[in-house]
Formats: sequence, structure tokens, C-alpha cells
Amino acid sequence: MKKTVAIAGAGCVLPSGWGVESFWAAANEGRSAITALNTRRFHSERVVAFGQIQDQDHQRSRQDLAQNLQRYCTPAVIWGVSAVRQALDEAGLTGEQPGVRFGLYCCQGGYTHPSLESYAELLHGCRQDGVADMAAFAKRILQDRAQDPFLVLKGLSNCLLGVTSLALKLVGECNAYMQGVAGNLAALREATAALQAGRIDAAIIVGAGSELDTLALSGLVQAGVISANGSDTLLPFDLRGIGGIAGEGAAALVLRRREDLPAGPQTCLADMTAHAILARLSLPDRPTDVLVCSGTGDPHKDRELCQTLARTGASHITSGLAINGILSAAPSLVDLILARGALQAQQVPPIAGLQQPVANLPFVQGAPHPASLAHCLVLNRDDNGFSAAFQLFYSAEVPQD
Amino acid sequence: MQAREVLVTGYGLVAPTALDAASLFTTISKKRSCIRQHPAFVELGFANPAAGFVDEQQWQVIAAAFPGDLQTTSRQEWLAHYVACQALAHAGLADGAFARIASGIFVGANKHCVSGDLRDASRYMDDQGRVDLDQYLDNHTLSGGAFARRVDQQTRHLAEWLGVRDHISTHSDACAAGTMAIGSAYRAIARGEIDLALCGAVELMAHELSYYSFDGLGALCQRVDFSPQEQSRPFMPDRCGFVLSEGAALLVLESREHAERRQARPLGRVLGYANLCEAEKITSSSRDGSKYAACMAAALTDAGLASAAVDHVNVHGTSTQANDRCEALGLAQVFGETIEQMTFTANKSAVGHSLAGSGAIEAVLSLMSIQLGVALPTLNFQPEKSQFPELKFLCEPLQQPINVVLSNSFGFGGVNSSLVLGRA
Repeated sequence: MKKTVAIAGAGCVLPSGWGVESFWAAANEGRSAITALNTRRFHSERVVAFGQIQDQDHQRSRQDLAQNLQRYCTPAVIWGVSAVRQALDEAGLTGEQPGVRFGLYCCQGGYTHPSLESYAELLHGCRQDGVADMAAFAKRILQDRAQDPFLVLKGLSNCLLGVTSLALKLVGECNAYMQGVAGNLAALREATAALQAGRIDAAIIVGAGSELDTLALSGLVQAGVISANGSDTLLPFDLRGIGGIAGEGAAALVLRRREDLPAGPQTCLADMTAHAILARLSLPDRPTDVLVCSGTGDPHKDRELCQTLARTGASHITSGLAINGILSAAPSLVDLILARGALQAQQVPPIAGLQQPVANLPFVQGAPHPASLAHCLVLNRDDNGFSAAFQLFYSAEVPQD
Repeated sequence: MQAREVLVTGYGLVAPTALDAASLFTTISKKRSCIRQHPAFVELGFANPAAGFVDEQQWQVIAAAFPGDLQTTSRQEWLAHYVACQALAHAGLADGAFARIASGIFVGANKHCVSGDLRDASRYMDDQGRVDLDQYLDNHTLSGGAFARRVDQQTRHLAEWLGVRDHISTHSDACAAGTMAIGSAYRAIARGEIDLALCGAVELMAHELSYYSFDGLGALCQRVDFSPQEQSRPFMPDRCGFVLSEGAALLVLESREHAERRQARPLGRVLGYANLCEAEKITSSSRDGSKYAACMAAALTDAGLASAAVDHVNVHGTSTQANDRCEALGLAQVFGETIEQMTFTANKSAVGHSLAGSGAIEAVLSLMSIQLGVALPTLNFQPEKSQFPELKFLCEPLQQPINVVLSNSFGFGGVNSSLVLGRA
């Protein structure tokens, strides 16, 4: 029999603010944190909104990481470390806890660094006749040493892992994954298996990333994931939706074996399934009390998605997408934090802005809905098509493994 | 619970100058290097254009075998498909086999580079260097599809093509990613979650942006007095950095039960695996080699083997001063006096450093060494000048019975991994 694994701590740095409480408050108030896009590197009249980390939250996150390590980091990595520290605090742990063997499982977003911004100044300086001369660009970098010497580290897909392990002085099992839903699922699977096998005693799972870059956003526009029609509102599962809006941020969970946690209610991970094709995703046999599913903000896609949602027999359906935007690195981790909040509070937050649902399903609208909640399903579909389902249950009892 | 045995029943490979595993094994056996002058680097005026790269002739073959639309798919998808077809054929599996049972895809890959896109974007910069995103969107379509620059596209392609419904992961553990993808697949089979896995790495980073970044850190060989073929010289005193390379290798792993049910021919076994983040420094390990040693020792413990059981080590051996020294010291700690009975090989001397690709390529070469009873030579190695004479690297291929190989991959970010491979 596999040992039950529970969420012992959570942390996040999201457009909704620093910390789980900020996210939970925004979700319950149905308050979107998506704002006017603010960057000095590009301008647009068509892509105008973004789920952006506020400067005060970035500065707060920087306090969680030594200055000498920040030179290796993208902003997203700094948020990731801060989210990990929050999750460890809630779990009552530090990275160097005597007698506790840690595992670290990280997930970064797909197109984050080196971004166009990393090279923008150099490219601009090498422009001749309206286009960058790439041989001159090469010379500036190789001969004049004009490139940030730490760019290779900032560009590493395991930069989050390397910096987090150094920040926490954490020696142990580790894995670094790429990309949204698939990466989150792989990290959670590996962490859960390591806990169940007894190789580790505490698992840190963290995702961090940003798509705030010309090339990244143009890829998302081209794929139809975000809209390029000047829209500043993201409305998942709403007939008035006119497309997606990207976001950025970080989220972290600490998992432990249920038996190692004190008595009292805990949110436990029951099962995880995946498929590259949503319609073939294996779903639980029993109806679920609450379903957390991001949606897309595109009514046509959301209506299609609803065919799968209907199969779950959920009593309540909610989404956090409108709060923070479409996240590249931690979509499932953020939804798991929302789901855990609902189970702990016995209350389902509304879908922000939802007025005209795309389907006749039990979407929560307007105000938080108190309910008796024991089982929760998180269902994610990535913008490149990959899908996953996570089952959670809430229990005061220690299961007999 | 008793861990299940994990067999290797097939593999596929593409490396610079080689379109399959047998060709690469022969190339290295004949002491030929895969490293050449990269034409793109020559065109850009690099003082040292040496690299291992998949050339246009190879790409023509790879693209011709891809069943999808080449305009809307990425090169990493074509390469993954080509190598996966080899691996499946080698294992005697139809592509429908993965959809019928619990299975997984585990692919290492780190970055895909975008210098063409950078150049295009520079056309839409204003006087302050700000890009007009709207103009860029109106005039520019990302080649290879909207997600072509995402690192997980080859994984998604394989998962969709093969109908994998269980484990699907893209491992991005820098230079350790290929080995860690194989290790994760091994563990998932050993603990009974899946019966069949396709695992390894697809890495396309022989690219100017990767070159700039690693060069900025001083990690690349810049000795232009050495020919391209001479630049990767692991464990020699005059080593001075690695040579950037690329490539892909995928292995089919199966539970013994599954392999026996379908009467598959086992090619080898994964006996053990360990990974360790060391929290030492972001680009280098402990100077005394102890962190590398801890990882190797953990892999041997996982395999249930004493160090004396290892016949041969496929080292990480990047040809940088710091890494090779740490690895040599770590090997000495793990193997003690038995080190003199063992042989060692550093495949990067011939192939260069293909980052995630290297661990997967080296796993395939290690399995071939076990199957063929041949230890591969290390190019540019001169025993009389060796800084670590206790490590018996070979100048010529050596016929020897090989039952157990330890294969190391250590990555930037402080991520280490070791794999123990054995006879079936």
C-alpha cells in the first residue's frame, strides 16, 4: 500500500500579491490582478494587459535571497525562492532541518531566458540599415565581452533548482523540469514517489516563470493562446470572453508523508493522471465536490473543455485564471493552492468576472460558496495541449497505510 | 516492496556525423572525431568555430523521415521522431505498444535558441531599442510553429504520437538531464508504475547563442592552435574547456516481465541510479571531489553493488580543468585500490559536449561496450602525460569483458547524476 502524501506548506508570488493569503483574498473577492502591461522593452496597442508581479512584491521576494546569489537570477527565480521559503515556513521546516532528508523538484517556464530583453541593448547597438548585423553582434560579445557574464546561468533551465539549493544549502535528491502542466505533474509525481519510497522525508516542489518578452508573447499570440485585440479582461468560461492574457509568477508546495504530520485536518494528494490529448485523460470514477480548472478565456475552447468538466460530476467548479493570467511555469501548483484553500475553508471562491457561463455546469459565480468539501479535482490543460488531473482529499484522520 | 528489474531492449541515436549508434561506436573505435568547424560559426567570424553539429546532410535524412508537416513543426520534433523510430525498431515494438499499457516518455532537453528571431525582431526596434510588437506580429511568423522554441515540443510530439497516458516529462537538469531522464524512467518502472518507457535526450544547442553564453563563462576551449579534433582533451593537463556539441539518443526500457511476455531481446539492464543537488557552487563542485563521489556511491548502493563490481566507467569528462579534476578525485574516493583494474572512457573527447544529449549518448555507448565487449578509446589522450595516471583511459579500443559500467553526468546548477548499467 502506498503511503499517503499531504501538502504541508504552500507559498506563492503572483500578480495577486506576495503570499498565499493575498491570492486567497483576491480569489474570494473575485478580484483580477491583471493590469496594463508595463515594460520598457516593447510597446503594443494590441497586447495591452498582463498578469504582472508588482514591484513591491518583487522587492519583498528579494529579501529572501542573498545578494550574491541574485546576480545569477532572473526575477522569476527570485520569486521561486521566496515562494519556497513561505512554503517551508508554513511546514515548520528549514532547508537544513536535522534528520529531515529533502528532495527538490523544480519547474521553469518555457521561453523565459535568455529572452529578447537579454540581448536587446546589444542588438540595438549592432543595427545597420534597420536590422542587427549578427557578425557585429558576435564580435561585441566574443571580443568586447559586452554580454552579461552570468547570462548562461540565468538561461539555465535548472537555474531555479541551482539557486534554491544554494539558498537553502539543500543537499539531496533533485529534478528540474520544463514547462507548465507537464512539468508540474512530473515534479509532483517524482516528489510523491520519493516520499512513498522513503528516499526523502520532505519534498519541495516549485515552479517559476514569466512570458513577459516580445518573442514569448508573439508565440502565444500566434498559437491563439492570448488575444491580440486590445483586450484587458480575462473571462474564463464566459460567453463574453475574447481570449487569453498571459501572466507570471511562482508557486511552491512542501509535501510530506501524512503519517509524519501532526494530527488534524490535512489536504492529501490522492492520484495524478496525464495525457497529451484531453479527451483521453483518465478521470476519477466518483463525482468530486469541487473542481478547479483554469479555462482559457476563449468561449469556443472553454465550451469544448466543458465536455470534459461534465464528465467529472463536480458539485462546484471554480477557476483562478482571471486572477493571475495564464502562467507558464506553475499553473497546476497555483490551482492546487487554490484547491487546498477551498478544502481548508470549506468554501469555493467564485470565478472572477463570470456572468454568462458557456455551459450549464455548476460554476461558482458572484460570491464565495460555503459547502461541505472532502474531495477536489484539479484539471489542467496546457496551451500546447498537454492535460493532467490531480485528485485531492481533505481528512482529519491519519489513513491506515 | 521488491523493486522490479529494468531491461534495455532498444536504442536510437543521432550524433554529429553519425545517424545511428553503430556508426558512432565505429567512428570512436577508429579514433575519429565528430568535431569540425561549424559553418555558421565560420560565417559569423568566430576565432574558434569548432563544434559538434548535426549537419545539413543529416537533417535532410531526418526531415525526410518525419511524417508531419515540416512547416509547422520544429527540428527537435523531427529529430526526436527519427531517433524514436530507431529505438522502437531496435526493440521490436510497434508504435501502438505504448498506448496499450502504462508507459512513459522521459526526455532531457535544455534550451532552443532563437538568433534568427532576434535579428528579425531588431527590424522593429525604435530609436530607444523598444520593439513595436504589433508590427512584429503583422510581419513575422515564427518558423516551425508557435511553440517551436519551447523545450518540451519533442516530448509532446512523442507523447501524442505514441499515445502515452502516464509519465510525460521534459528534464532540464543542464548537462545531467539525459542521465536523469533515464534515471527517472528506470525508477518509474522499478516501482511498478509503468512497464515501458522511452527515455533519453534531444538537445540542439550547437548554436551561437549557447556558444556566447558558455564562452562568457570561460567554459569553452579557445585554443585555436589545436585543430577542432584536438580541442576536447579530457583529463590531459593542457585541457582548456569543452567543445559545444549536440545530438539525441533515446532508449527503450521495460520491466523484465513485460519484456519476457513479448519475448524481447534484452540488450542490457539499468542496475542503479542516483542524483544529487550538491549546494556547493552554481558552476563547480567541491574541490575534493567528495560531492561527485557521494553521487557515484549512492548509485552503486541503489544497484546493490560494491565498487569492485564496476569494470568500466564512462566519465563525464568535459575537458575543463575544474570538472575533470573533481571527477578524478571523486573516482579515486569511490574505487580506491580497485581503480587500477578498471578502464575508463571519455566520449566527449570525440563527440564534444552535447549537454543533455551527452548523458543519453554515453548511456547508449556504454551499453554497446557491454554487448560487444569493447572499451572505447579516449581521443587526444596521452598516457605518458596524464595528470591522473591511476585512471586507465585507452588510446586504442580494447576487447575486454564488461559486465558493469558506471556512467556519470554532472551539471551546472550543482546537479549530479550517476547511472549503473549492466549485462542483461
